[in-house]
Amino acid sequence: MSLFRLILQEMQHRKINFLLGLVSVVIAVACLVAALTLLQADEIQTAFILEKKADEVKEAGDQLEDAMRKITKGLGFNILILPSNQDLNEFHLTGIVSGTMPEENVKILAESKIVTVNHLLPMVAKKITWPEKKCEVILTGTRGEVPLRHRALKKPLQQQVPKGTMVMGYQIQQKLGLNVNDKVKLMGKDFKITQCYPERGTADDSTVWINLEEAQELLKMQNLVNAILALECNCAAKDRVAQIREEIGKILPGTQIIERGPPALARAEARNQAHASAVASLEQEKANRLQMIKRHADFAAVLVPLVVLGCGAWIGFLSLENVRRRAPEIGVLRAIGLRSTQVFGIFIIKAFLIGVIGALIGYFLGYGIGITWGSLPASVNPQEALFSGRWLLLSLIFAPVLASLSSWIPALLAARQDPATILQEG
Amino acid sequence: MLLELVELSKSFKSGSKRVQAVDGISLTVDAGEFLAIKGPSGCGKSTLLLMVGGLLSPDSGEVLIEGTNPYKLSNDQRARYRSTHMGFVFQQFHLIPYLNVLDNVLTPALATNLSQAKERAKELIEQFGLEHRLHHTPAELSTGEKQRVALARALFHQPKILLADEPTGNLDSENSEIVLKALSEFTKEGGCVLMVTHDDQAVKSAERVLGINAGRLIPESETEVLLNS
Ligand SMILES: Nc1ncnc2c1ncn2[C@@H]1O[C@H](COP(=O)(O)OP(=O)(O)O)[C@@H](O)[C@H]1O
Ligand SMILES: [Mg+2]
Repeated sequence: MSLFRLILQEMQHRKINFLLGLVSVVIAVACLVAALTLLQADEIQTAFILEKKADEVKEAGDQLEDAMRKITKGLGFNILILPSNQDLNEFHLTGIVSGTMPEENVKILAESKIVTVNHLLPMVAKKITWPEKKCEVILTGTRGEVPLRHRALKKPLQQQVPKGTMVMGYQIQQKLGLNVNDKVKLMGKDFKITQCYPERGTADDSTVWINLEEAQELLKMQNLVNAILALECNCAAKDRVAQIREEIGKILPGTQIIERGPPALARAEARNQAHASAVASLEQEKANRLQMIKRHADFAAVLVPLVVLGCGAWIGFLSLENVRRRAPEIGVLRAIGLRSTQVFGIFIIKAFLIGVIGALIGYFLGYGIGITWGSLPASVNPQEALFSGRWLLLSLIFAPVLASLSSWIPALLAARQDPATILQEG
Repeated sequence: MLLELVELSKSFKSGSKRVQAVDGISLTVDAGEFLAIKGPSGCGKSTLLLMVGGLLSPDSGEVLIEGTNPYKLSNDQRARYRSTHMGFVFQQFHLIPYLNVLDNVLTPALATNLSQAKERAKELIEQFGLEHRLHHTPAELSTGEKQRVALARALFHQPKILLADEPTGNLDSENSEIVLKALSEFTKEGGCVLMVTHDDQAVKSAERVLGINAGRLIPESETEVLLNS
């Protein structure tokens, strides 16, 4: 016979008292563990969602960067600098520039410190009827690239058209049945065809290119140009045309600037927006999740102490009832010679045992609640992710301590009980 | 002289009145003596017994067991003293309801370790003819059997003094006989029994009988008269 055996026998004998105590410990621990487990699930889920969002943001960022790179390299956007006297409406309707400006403008621009503009191409262009062939063409004179003074010359984008040579668009070439190395006469002047472009599906197909100076001569436009084409402009600002307009406006007052947008531009804009919305969505999601976690944590912070206090009070009440009912037993044990600390121990050890058993059951109940109701990403195994040896240990410490503390006063009362008053009866 | 009581008094407050439960009792008892104290209900018998047993400190007077006053000891020392010197038997048996017979008899071992406790307990249980009841709980026993278990428990540590508070009060004459015989035998082995009762049958087993009334002992000469009447 040991004190421990006596305690176990008593617990078995007064099952209701034991079970009521156990149930309250189980509830307290389950409540605590479920709260912790659900919060843990929240956090795992949040981390997962945010990671996914971050990936999306990164992808959108990469795409944006790629688009920007394409704009600034090779596929950059182009602008057309037009004379002040050009009717833009007419230009858009016909595709032809009738206004002129001094060729000098190119030089001024090239010698300025402008950074947003690359590859300056002065040009003249006029719709004419090719006298010798009786065929309407756009005659374009181009000089090739004018180097920007403050920068090293980049690889020329558009090859120069040397004097006496001609480059031919697809439609004209087909119509006239001409080929590379054929010699033709244009307005009385001899040209050798050096290149024929494949079909582009634009006005280029109806264009012939010759050297700028020769074109100026043929068209009687010495020292005049119709337009300056700036290729591969690199300006990442949102409203870049406005910015370029402002820059060029300072250098060449009165010129008009329009954008000839290649698809890369639209793509970049879309990417820019996609990236911005991905970032915004990440921020929103982060805020939502944090708010949700805070809401849950706040709820747990109110509920858990309430349940714990309630259970503590209930255990205390049950212990008190147990002590009262066992008064004769305590009297006899004291008469037999048990010390008051042993009597105290009987009640505290009992509470402690209920705490241990309740912690084990309560932990797994709370854990069960957590894995049942906690929302986790599909790729995460809830049994593994939410099991916590630390919390099990915490429960195994917390519950016996809670139960023992709750039973402290009843156990003290038992230890101090005067055996005489009980034994005197009868 | 094993036990000496010197002018022992105890009063209780009951409402606004004071009840003098024990009023200046002096007494000496020797080892091997079977002393019965007889008196009507409420005359202070249980109070006297609890004071002798070291469970209720007197208002005045002294309890001396082999010259030691248990009330001069600390609480724990007194508890230990009880476990080694005293055995208790009550009218209500006060067995522990959830322990079987063997464990009930073994409860004194919780206070003081004893080698071969189980053997000693079984020996006592056999002595009282309860070996077939070893693993039964008190609820499964007859009243006579319960008191025999209580007796076995009281004798477990071979006490010097056995204090019996109306041990036959709840028993039929057959079971009373068994208990009283056991008490007699205990005195023959050198133990001392102090039994309080209002049962005439019980009194007959005692070698020496004292009357008690209103907390005071009646002189032995007068007790004879009281008993014979
Ligand atoms: N704890 C107590 N509080 C108040 N009165 C008590 C207490 N114990 C005993 N008494 C009173 O003391 C007197 C003696 O009681 P008790 O010793 O139990 O008598 P007996 O055992 O002879 O029947 C009775 O009047 C009883 O009411
Ligand atoms: Mg009594």
